[in-house]
Amino acid sequence: MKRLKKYWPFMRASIMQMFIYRGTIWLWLIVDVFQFAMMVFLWKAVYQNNDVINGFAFTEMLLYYLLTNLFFVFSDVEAIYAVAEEIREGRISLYLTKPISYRLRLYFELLGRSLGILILLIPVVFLTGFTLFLIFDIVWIVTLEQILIAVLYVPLVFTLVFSFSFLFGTFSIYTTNVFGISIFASVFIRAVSGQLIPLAFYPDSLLSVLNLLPFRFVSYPPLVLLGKVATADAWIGLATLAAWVLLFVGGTALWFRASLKKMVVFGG
Amino acid sequence: MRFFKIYGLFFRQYLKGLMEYRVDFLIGMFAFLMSQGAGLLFLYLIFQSVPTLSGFAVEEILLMYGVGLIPKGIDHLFFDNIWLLPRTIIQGQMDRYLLRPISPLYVFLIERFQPDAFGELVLGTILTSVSISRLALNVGFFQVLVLLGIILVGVFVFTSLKLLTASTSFWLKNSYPLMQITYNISDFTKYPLSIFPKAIRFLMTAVIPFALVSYYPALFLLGRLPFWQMFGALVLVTSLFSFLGYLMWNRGLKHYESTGS
Amino acid sequence: MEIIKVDHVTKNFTIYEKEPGLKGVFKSFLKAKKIIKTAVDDVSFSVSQGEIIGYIGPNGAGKSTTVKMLTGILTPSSGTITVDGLIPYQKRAQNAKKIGVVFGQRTQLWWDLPLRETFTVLKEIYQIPTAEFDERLAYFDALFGLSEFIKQPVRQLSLGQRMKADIVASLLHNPKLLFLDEPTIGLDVLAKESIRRTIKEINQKYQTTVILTTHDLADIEELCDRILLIDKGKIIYDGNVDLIRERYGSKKLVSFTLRSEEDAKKVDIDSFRTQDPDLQITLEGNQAHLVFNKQHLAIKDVIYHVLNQADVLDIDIADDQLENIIKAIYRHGLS
Repeated sequence: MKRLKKYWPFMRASIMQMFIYRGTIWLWLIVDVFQFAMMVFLWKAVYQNNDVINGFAFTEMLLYYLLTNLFFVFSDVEAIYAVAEEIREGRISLYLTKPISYRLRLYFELLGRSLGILILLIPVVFLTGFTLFLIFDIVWIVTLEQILIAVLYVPLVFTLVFSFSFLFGTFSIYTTNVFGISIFASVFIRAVSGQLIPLAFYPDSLLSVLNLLPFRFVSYPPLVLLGKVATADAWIGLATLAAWVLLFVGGTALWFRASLKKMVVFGG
Repeated sequence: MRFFKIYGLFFRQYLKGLMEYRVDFLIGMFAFLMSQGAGLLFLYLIFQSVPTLSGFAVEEILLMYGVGLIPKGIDHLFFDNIWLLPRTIIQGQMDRYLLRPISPLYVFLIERFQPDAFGELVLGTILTSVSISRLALNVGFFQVLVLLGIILVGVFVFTSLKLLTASTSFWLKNSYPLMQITYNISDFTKYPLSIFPKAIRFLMTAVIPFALVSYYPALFLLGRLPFWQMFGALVLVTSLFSFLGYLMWNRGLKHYESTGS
Repeated sequence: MEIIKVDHVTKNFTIYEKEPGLKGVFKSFLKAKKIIKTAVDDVSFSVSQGEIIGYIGPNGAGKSTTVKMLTGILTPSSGTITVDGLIPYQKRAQNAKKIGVVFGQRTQLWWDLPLRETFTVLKEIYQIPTAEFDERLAYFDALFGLSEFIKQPVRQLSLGQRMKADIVASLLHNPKLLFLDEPTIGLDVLAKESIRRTIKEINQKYQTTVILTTHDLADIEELCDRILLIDKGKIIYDGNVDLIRERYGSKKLVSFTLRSEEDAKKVDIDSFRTQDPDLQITLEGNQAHLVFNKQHLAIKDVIYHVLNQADVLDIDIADDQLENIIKAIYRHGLS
């Protein structure tokens, strides 16, 4: 724990930076709210003739997307851009000369970023949620255990996606199209995690494949809070996810060390 | 004439660059295909659970989607540089364009060629042709001509709106959020307009008129909207917005010249 | 023949001042405090064709604002500017045909195009006849050795190459006026020489009028006949380079090289301090450097005095550098 203390300033700096940019961030959040509104209309049309589809009622679907948007803050692929830029500008060598881990430093920086955005996001989510509750007469019951589980999932999900993005970020030594890489990665995660559409909508054949991947856990927090996943299953899932995270983190560490030479030379 | 000559010189370079940076190009195109693919996946999965969406079958929706993608792709291909306008203004790089004896807008537009957009073009063409054949639509010479007309005119719906929103940067400096919202709205015109309330429908038809390039043309091809209504509205609105976009650009330049960067 | 006329030109900018912090954000939303900054204040001057003008002043003095108005990309708040019979900010495209502009810190070339293609594009933009285009390209090739790097994309050029390329690009259409903004910044000595030589040649051969904005006073000393000094938006000096040196450059530097360090220490000029209280002496090994005001002390007196005190091997006499003169003017104004 003491070793991690030296990364606290990085995290704090990121959080503060988000606050400085709060104007811009809120502007982007308005864009998101607009998109969310469009989705509401879309799902309303989908549920025109059905009450429940694939285990989701209309109001549950709305809540699902609202919560997914909230938790999405911890599963963005920003690390790709950060790593790619630092490789490109040769800053990696700078960090390697300091007595801190490159990956850990970036990890805490991005964690701070996500936390900062989360804090700014909360009022927006509240307002949107409140409006939804008013318009659609939603009733929603949550237990403390569910909330606890959802919260515990967050750091694991964050670490998983961080490692995944980090890996993709290092691919920037093979191509200059970082934008392309990040679209690829984020679309992939959106599709296999249940952010695009609840995984329950996928045909069984595809589901069996998706269940082998750890990315489905990204949508577990909303699913647990909505009662779509039983708490017992959720606890087991937490352990499974933890194992996956260890695998990803270990794998990225090895990959990083192996390709370090290439990356340092690249920046020049 | 020199406008074409100049563009020829740039275009040759773009092609050369394409060949050189093949990997980047393929990754870009693939990435775009993927993000469109996600939208298609979403549609597909919904239609696994419901037979129609607001009274439209899946092929009909794919038709709207496909028809709208083609002009969007063409605009993306040739006029992508407009996205860089806010940054150019903020960084004070606008002067370069003003110091040459040629239209600054022209030089600004030709500086970028975005081959990633081929993904949109290919997908749009595939979706349009597949849905037309699946629906067994009567597509004769006239319909094809109309389709070409829609595509050609439709390009300028996207371009003029981009120019209009981007030009606000001359005053607001950072219009990216505005541009992004407009762009996101265009993404939603792949869905039938009937799912939206009246206010949004009006927005997408007259204010940010992307529906004129996807929804209404599809209705025409499905035989549910008379030609002259659909096409007339398209031409009218496109001309209006092209005029507004160009006007905004010029006003913006004037403002830039009186206040500097 | 007068090619530029600047007549009582003023340029004001409106800046909205925001208070720092959250309170400031809200306050500025409702009513922002307007501050009017005068970047150029009632400036008047004229330039004849074929002159090379040095335009100098501290940062923020109004140099680039003036140049922007002269090139037509900024409109004055009041006053008029005429460039070769046209008002540049009204007839921008027409004026652009007659001018060439080089920004030292930013390139006007297209980053991704090979240099040769860039020139060809400019040929089309300025509608330069092919014969003239080829001739001028050959001319610059001889001067700058363009063929060495003309096939490379602009982004791969070194700073020196890029600067040369920018200068060629600005002169391809044989403009009547050339505006240079820090053209030698960051370049090595050889490149600087090469560029200065070219500017001089072009000016002599084609009577190209040159407006040179620079902080490098060596540029000024080599190229300019006339300097315009601007500070806080006002022109505080408009005249000959030599004149400024004569009138305001009153310092003389005399360096004595003596036989030994002991000899150097023998140099004693305290007796002159009553005549020139600013007299300075610095000892460096076996050298003694004296700086004095030549209007207060006669050079022969100083030299004679030192010659009598110690064993002098060598004497170096120099005028005060233009740089120091300008520095003094910035600080104390003209007097």
